[in-house]
Parts: sequence; structure tokens; C-alpha cells
Amino acid sequence: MNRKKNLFRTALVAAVTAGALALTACAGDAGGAPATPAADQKLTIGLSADVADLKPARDQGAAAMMLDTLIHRGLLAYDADGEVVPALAESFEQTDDVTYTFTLREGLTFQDGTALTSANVKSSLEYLATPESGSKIYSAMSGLASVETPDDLTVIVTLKSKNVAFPEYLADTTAAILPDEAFAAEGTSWVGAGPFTLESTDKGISFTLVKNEDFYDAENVSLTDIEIAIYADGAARSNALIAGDVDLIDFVPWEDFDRVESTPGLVIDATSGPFMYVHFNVTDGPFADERVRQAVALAVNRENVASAAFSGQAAVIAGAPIPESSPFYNKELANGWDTDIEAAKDLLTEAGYPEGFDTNLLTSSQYAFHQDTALSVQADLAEIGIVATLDAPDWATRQEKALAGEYDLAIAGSAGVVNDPSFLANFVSGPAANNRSFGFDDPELDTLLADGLTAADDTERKAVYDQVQERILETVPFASLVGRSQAFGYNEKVVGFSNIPGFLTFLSGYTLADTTISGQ
Amino acid sequence: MNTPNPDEIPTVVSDLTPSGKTPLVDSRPPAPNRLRSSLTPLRVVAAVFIFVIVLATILADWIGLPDPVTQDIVNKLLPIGSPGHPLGTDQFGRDLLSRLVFGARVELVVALSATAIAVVIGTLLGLAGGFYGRWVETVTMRSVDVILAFPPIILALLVVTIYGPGLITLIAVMGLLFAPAYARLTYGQVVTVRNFEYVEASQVFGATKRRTLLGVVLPNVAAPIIVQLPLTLAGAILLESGLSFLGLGVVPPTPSWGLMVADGQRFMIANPEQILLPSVVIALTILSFGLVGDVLRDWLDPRRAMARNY
Amino acid sequence: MIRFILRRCAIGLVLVWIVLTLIFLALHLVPGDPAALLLGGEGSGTPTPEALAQVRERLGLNDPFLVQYWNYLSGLFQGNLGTSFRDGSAVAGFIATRLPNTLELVLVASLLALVVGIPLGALAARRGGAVDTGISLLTAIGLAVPVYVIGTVMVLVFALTLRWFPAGGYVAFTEDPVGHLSRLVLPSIAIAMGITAVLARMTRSSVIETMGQDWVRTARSVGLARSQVFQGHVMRNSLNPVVTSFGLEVGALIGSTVLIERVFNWPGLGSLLIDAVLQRDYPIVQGVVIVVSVLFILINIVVDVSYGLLDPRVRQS
Repeated sequence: MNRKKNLFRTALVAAVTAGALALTACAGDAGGAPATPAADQKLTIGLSADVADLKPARDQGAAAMMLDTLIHRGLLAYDADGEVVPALAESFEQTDDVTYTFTLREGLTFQDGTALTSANVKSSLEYLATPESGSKIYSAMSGLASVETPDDLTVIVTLKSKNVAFPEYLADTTAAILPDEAFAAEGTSWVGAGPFTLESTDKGISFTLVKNEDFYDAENVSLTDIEIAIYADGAARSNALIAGDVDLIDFVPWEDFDRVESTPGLVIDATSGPFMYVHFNVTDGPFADERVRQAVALAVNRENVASAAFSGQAAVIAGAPIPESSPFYNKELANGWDTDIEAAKDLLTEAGYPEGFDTNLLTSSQYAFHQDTALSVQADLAEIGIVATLDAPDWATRQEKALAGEYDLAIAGSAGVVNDPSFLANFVSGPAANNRSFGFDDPELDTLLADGLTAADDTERKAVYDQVQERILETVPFASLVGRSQAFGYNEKVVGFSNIPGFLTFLSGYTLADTTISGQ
Repeated sequence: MNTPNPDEIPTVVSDLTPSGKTPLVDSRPPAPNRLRSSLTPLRVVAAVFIFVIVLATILADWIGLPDPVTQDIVNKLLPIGSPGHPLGTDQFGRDLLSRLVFGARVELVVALSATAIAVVIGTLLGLAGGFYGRWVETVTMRSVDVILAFPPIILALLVVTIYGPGLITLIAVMGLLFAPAYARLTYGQVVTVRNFEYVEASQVFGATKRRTLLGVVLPNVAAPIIVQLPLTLAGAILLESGLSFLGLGVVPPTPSWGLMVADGQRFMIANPEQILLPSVVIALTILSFGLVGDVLRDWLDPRRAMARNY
Repeated sequence: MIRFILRRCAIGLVLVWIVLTLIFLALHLVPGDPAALLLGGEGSGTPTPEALAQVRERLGLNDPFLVQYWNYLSGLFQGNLGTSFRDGSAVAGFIATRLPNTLELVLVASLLALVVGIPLGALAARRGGAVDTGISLLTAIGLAVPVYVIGTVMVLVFALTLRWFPAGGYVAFTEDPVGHLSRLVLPSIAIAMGITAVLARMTRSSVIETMGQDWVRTARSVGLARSQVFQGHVMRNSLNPVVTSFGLEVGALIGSTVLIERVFNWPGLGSLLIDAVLQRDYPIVQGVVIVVSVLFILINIVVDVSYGLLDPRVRQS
């Protein structure tokens, strides 16, 4: 049924393309691009989760981020390589360590027609800096000192202290510039200044978007319509892509990678995204001793985790989780935790636990990969005498327990907000959180990370982050396991879409503004 | 509820043959032979199957099976008939045959415990309600109704979410869910019996009301309870596997058939035996319990014996 | 009869109220903070205490327990089932969208079961012998195999291997009738198998039992044709316990389509409930449980009433 529809559509497209080609040839156009766009520039996406409501500032998960990349834009954005590029701001300049001046483009409007001026930028940024907003980038925005708007097109942002990574946070989707209604008490953020406007939604089933003709870069946006269908179940999502019901899916399940890749006409675009790790309750018990934590880091067999929990689609991370593509990656330090059972046993003995000990491991039964990671780690720990019992409630309970420190060991999977190594701060310091070690406090590490933000130049930064990595290897605020492969699967005819590397994979929707449906 | 138990349809003559032809005399065989006549070849096979399973779970540690929990990721997802792994391995490299056998142990422990709790609670509730009447009756039997007003999976879902998954929670919740059947059985018996004249008669002779009722009720209710037991066991296995399928049952790495089905789902296409093996075992076990239940029913409670199926 | 119905309805209302109170209690005992869940996404940051406090205030979670309970009850009396924590939209709206999907499954499955199960059982009773044994074996399998196993195996065989049907999901009938129906087939059959088995067995025993009764032989001896006797008299009398079983089965179904909805990604009430429990969306959980209990109790009342209708002897009691 769908094959027939596809066949017909392809035939029609082919006919139109042939005609277009003929015309082009007649016009004598020297077309260099091999991919001729199809007449019908409509993209169908199979999304992994529903988005009940778009709220400003909050971290609402990957599906919401996909919608955000389509509906919204902030001062800055990311390109396909993960580099910060100007978006609503035409240009920006860093006038001194703590001051950035942004110049907005002229004639910007929101999708409802109202004008977008520096006043909107000011209210958006200030909202993000308030603790009640629950903003995802609060860690960076709390450093905001002031926002001045000398005229409608100029915004001067001053920070309390230097933050080299600040522009990267501004490129995140939650830093979108929103109309004032979004910041009202129960405000939602369905209206923005991005390349696509939300036309309609069928609750729990689909979203329909159309091109925003008033978008500042509208002439370079090829897609005219985007239809997003919700496929919460991984297998169903893969099946939809393979059957041709959708053109692109996110979150390709790891066990389906081979199936999708081997289907002719389909592409898998994967990057090592969020990383899995073990965190500890260091307030008392064996894990208060950093040697025991080191033993855990050395005992885990990371290939097994990748194989068992992710069907092999995960990259081993045996040190601080700095991506290989980052300029701050350090090859030697990246393998500091390579599996070494003997060393692990020696460390345990040194710490006073020659026979090992009993403990518990917090995970969640709600996510198979989470629980499978825990099972693999559990088996590895048993080898050095640590007998861990699994505690696997549902996710909500897991989060609550983790926040309250009701665990000895816990499995977590997380991503940084930005690729810049300053993201590490989130995992080693701050008030209690459900994704970092309970009670962990290392002033020396905190100082090093602060130095990283204020370093004078890249060479100095690299030196600082090398020290950070060494320190992490030593004090083990968490034990990295693997970086799980975050993949999009799509039809070959979707050209221009790209999976932005590292933690920015969830922002890959930014590249849909440059995506075309190819005719062949 | 006044709705009669469908099992309680009175049969005029117990030994009906499937073709519907009925003899004019009551050809019900005398008691000792009833057991023999209630056994058919298939039922015998079922009983043997259960016996084998029970035996296997008791002897599991001594029959040389590999450890069901030890992982061997290098050898994951081996097919049936691999050397050293007659039924293959799962995604952690754990031997499937071993997990099925040790899983049987978990199933039986859970099912037996849950049934025991159900019988105890249910019988107590029914007895209390029947004896004391008035508000005791209202409280006990309406509580039973409340439990029945809840869809079972939802009740289990909520309880497990509150107390966290684990064997104790599971057994407690299932005991609660299966108690109403026994409460009603017992209650029905007590109510039927308490008005009999000979109860009054024996009271005249000085026996206390309680002793009289117990003396009359318990022997009468024993048979229906025994008949119901295998059905509850089967139901418990079914419910446990359903809950484990939803992630609310047994906590891994303890093997459980339901968990194996849930895990097998993800590998259905490439490795269908992951899901088919535990499914077949579940089905056969439940089937066997049902058949054994039929045997017990025909033997002990011929009044309720339904026309023999096979 | 009317008094009987009214009495049952009154008891039913009390039961629903008890169920509702228990659920309310249960939810407030459950660990897990709805506010934290609303604010936490991919887990790359932890919400500030101020943000959490504000959300909890908005959701009414800071009010004392009894106040929350009272607010909820008074809302119910006005016909308001509350609003979802996730997006503030009415719970009634969610249920109104999902309930028909579940009912559709249940109805289609029940019809299938009736149409297939009763004749099958009657056939087994009439013919006997090999036919009987064969049918009995089939029904035994239908009873013994868990419904989610049936469902999963059906997906494996009919959707993924043979590609006759889609593997799951949902499309509105108004949008794509063929697509809608093709996604309805597998889950309904999976559910129907269990009910068919029960109905077939019930019919079979009941028919046999009826056929053995004196009055049947009398009717035959008076000269009525075998088939006349069968259809006119035997079946009518046999249907009583069948109806009872059927009612009980369908009632039990309402809450237990959960497993099938999970396997087939069918957006029904069961999956709404599970998602709501996992996300600690209390109002939705409460709303769904109320609706399901009410339906369940209603169906039981209907069964009791029809039992009385079919068999005048019962009405006296």
C-alpha cells in the first residue's frame, strides 16, 4: 500500500525532474550540483517521543529540542560541524572579557507577525537568568550581569565573570528569543522566529509545520512542509523508515542499526552522543575512598557494556568524556581507566577491602539500555568481589532516589549542554542532582574548571583541561563507561541534513533549514 | 454480586459423554475409581510435565547446568544447538536452557507463595464474613468487591510503583489479587450451611456455633479450594510474566520467563528463539496446570464436573 | 427489577468512591516528584530549587493532603476530572480521545469471539469425537498462551515476516480507513483468542449439560426435529452461563488491554494509564482509574440484569 504510493510519488517526481532538467539544459544553466531538488519539498519525520507542551527555557528532552530547532532561533545557532554561527544576530563582537555586543538583523519578526527587537532579546535573556525559570542553561546564564539595549537592533550583554564558552550556550535551543507571552505564568513557546511555523497538531499523533516565509534566511530554506509523526516505539519507528512511511527518524534503536543500514536507499548518520557512567554516594561507606572508586573504574569491561546494552553501537570512554573531535581531547589521558582487574583488586585491598563487599546499584527498569548497562557492570564488579544488588524502579523513582542520595552506586546516562569541556562542571560540582555523585566535593577540581572558563587563550585552556582530566582520573567523581551512538536514519534523497557531532546531536534539527529533498 | 459462579452449574448426571447421549441411570462410578476415570492420557502427560518441572527446579543446582546469571558477552545470541548451549544464549551470553530451568524455580516459588497467601487471606475473609454476619460481613465481602472492581494489572502496577519491584511486593500483590476467589468460595459454603437444620440440631446438643460450623464447613469447602488451586497457580504465572513483561516483576538478573519474553521482543527478527522458547514453556506450564485442575475437579468435586473435554 | 438495578448502581457508586480514595492515597505515597519529572529532560542539568517550588505550587502539590483530596472530590461532583500535569489540558479530553480506541479493540475482539467461539463450542458439543478433541485442544492453547505472547508472535509472523499487516501504531479512521483497519486486525485477533477459547468451552459444557436434561428428550420424543430442538431450545437455555462468562471476560478486558496496547503501540486507555503512572501525572491516573472502574462495575451490572432477563427463575431472588 505504501510502496505503491511511494512508487507513484517517485514516478511523478522523476517525470517532473526530467522536465526541469530539460528546461535547465535549454536555459544553458551550468548546474554543478549533482542533486536536483524534487518538486515536492515535503519532509516526513518519525519522532521518538511526543511533546505535550513547549515551555520556554526548560530541558524537555530530545523530541522537544527537535521542534525547537524548527520553530525557534536565538541570537546564535550551530552549523553542521557544531560551530557557533550567527542566527538572529547578524554579527557579534566580544569587546572585552565579559562584554559581548550583538547586532540584530533588520526587519526580524516572530511567526505571528509581531516585530522582534532588542527588547525581546533582553526579556528572553533575563528570563533565562532567573532561578524560577528552570532554564537548562542556568549554569551559564546565572553569570549574567546585565543586558543593555541602546537601540532596537543592538544588545550589549555583560557577564559577572569571564566565560569563554558563553556563545555556545547562546546557540542552544533554549536560548531562543521568544515573544513576551511565552514568559507569562503558564506560557508556552509554540511561536518563535525560526524557519518553520507550527500549522497544526493532532495531539499525541503528529505535528504539521510549514515554511516561515518571513524567516530572515527564507530564500535559502528549501523545505516547504514538515510532517512529524510520533513513533514512540523504537521498532515501529525503524519499520516506518524501512517501509518508506517516513523520510527521517531520530533515535534509531541500536539493535536496528544493521537492519536500517542494509536497506537500500537508507542512510544511518551516527555520532557518539550522550555518555553512560557510574556515579557514587561518597558521603559514607566504601565509596568515600577514592581508591575504591578507581577500582570500580578499572574493573568495568566497557566493550561488554557496548555489546550487551547497545548491540555494539557505543564507543568506549575510559577517561573524562571529552569527544575525540574536540581540540581538548588528550589521547593518553583518554585511556586512564582501561580495564585492569589486577590493579582494581590491589586498590581494593589497599583501601581495606581485600574480600570485596556488598553494595547496591541503582538503575531503572523503564529503559532496557539502562538496565542492561547496570547488569553488565554488576557482572564486572562481581569479578573483583563487589557484590552489587540491582535496584531497578521506574524512572521517576530512580530520579528521586538519585537526587536524595538513596544509593551506593548508580548508573546514569547524560549529555553536556555544549561540547565545550566546561560542561564537566555540571557533573562534579553544585547542589545535589540526580545525575552526579552524591556528596562529591573537590575544590581543586572546581578551581581548575573555573580557570578553564577564564583562560587567556586556547593553549592555556588546553593545559588547564589536561589537568582537569588528570584530576578526574584520580578523584573519580564519576566512572565513564561508553558513549552511546545517537543516530538518525533517513532516506538518501534527504540531502543537507547532518547529525551534529557530540552532545549537539539533539540540535541536528538546525540543519533542516539547509535540507533539500533530492529528485533522484 | 449475585452472579453465580459459572463452574457451579449443576449437572444432572456427571458422566456425560461428549456426544451428548446420556444413560438413564446414574452411572457415576464409586469414589475410589473416580480418580482413575478422571485421568485421560493427555492429563497424565500434563501431570508428568509438572512433576518434571518441579523436579528440575529442585535439582537445578545439581544437574550440571551453567550458571544462569554469569555473563559471557563474547558468546551472546548463540543459536539453538550450539556446543555447550543446547538452547543457545541470550544477549548477555547466558545459557537459555539454564535460565528456563532456574526461571521455573522463580515462577513456582512466586506462584506457590502467592497462592498460599490468597488461600489464607481469602478463606479467613470468607469465614469471617459468613460467621459473624452484619457489619463484619459487609466489610469483608465489600473489600473483596473493591479488589474485584480494580483491573488486576492496574492494581499491580500501582502497588509495584509504590513499593518498588521485587519478589516480596510481587507475591503480596498477587496474593491480594487472587484472594477474592477463595473468599467467595468459603463465604458461599458458610452461608449455605449455616441455615441447615442439623446445625441447629447439633447446637441443641451443646456444640458451640463456631465448632459446628467449622466442622461442617471446612470439609465441604476443602474440595472446591483444592480444585481452584491449580487455576490460581496458572493465573499467578500468567500475571507474573505479564508484570515482568512490563518491567514490574522480577528484578534482573534473576531469570523469569516473563522477563525473557520481554527481552526477547527486542531481538525478535534476528533471533526469534529468544522469545519463542520462553513463550512455549509458559504456555505448556499453564496448560498443564489447567489439565491437572480438571483431574482434581473430576475426582473431588463431581457435582461441578463439566463435561470432560479430553 | 428496577429496584434491583438501582440497588446495584448505588453499591457501584460506593465502590467507585472507595476505589478513587484508595488511588488518591496510593499516588501520594508513590515516590517520585511530578515537578522534577516535568523539569528534567535529557538530564543535562538539574532544575533549581526555585523552579521546582514554583511548579509544585502551580500543580497544587504544596496544599495539605486533605485539601487536595477535597478539591479533587468537589471537582468530580461538578463533572471536572482535573487537568493533566504535563500540559494543563483537561483529563477528560485525554480520556475522550483514548477511550474510544480501547473500546474499539474490545468491541471488535468481543464480536469476533462471539461469532467464532459460540458456534465452535456448539459444534464441539454436537459432533463429539475427533472434532471435539481438536477444538478442545485449540481452546486450551488459546487459554494457556498469555495474550502478550500471542500478540508478539503475531507481530513477528504477520507483520515482520509476511508483511501482511503493519507492525503497529494508529491512524485515524477518518484519515485513512484502510490503514486504520489494517492496524486493527492483529491486536483484535490477539485479544479475541482468549475470549473465544473461554466462550467455546463454556458453550460446549453448557450445551452438553442442557442436551442431557429430561425436557430435551421429551421434546425429541414429541417429534420435534433435532435441529429445531437444538436451535430453538437447547441453545437458548445454554446461553445463560455463556453470557455470564462473556460479561466477566469483557469487563476484565477493559483494564487489561494494557499489554496488547504496549505490543502494538495502540493509543488506548491502558497505555495512557501506564504512561501517566510513569510520569506521575496524578490527575490522569485518577481519571483513568475512575473511568475504568465505572465501566467495569457497569458491565457487571449489565451482566446481572441480562442474566435475569434470560432466565426468569432468577428474577425472583
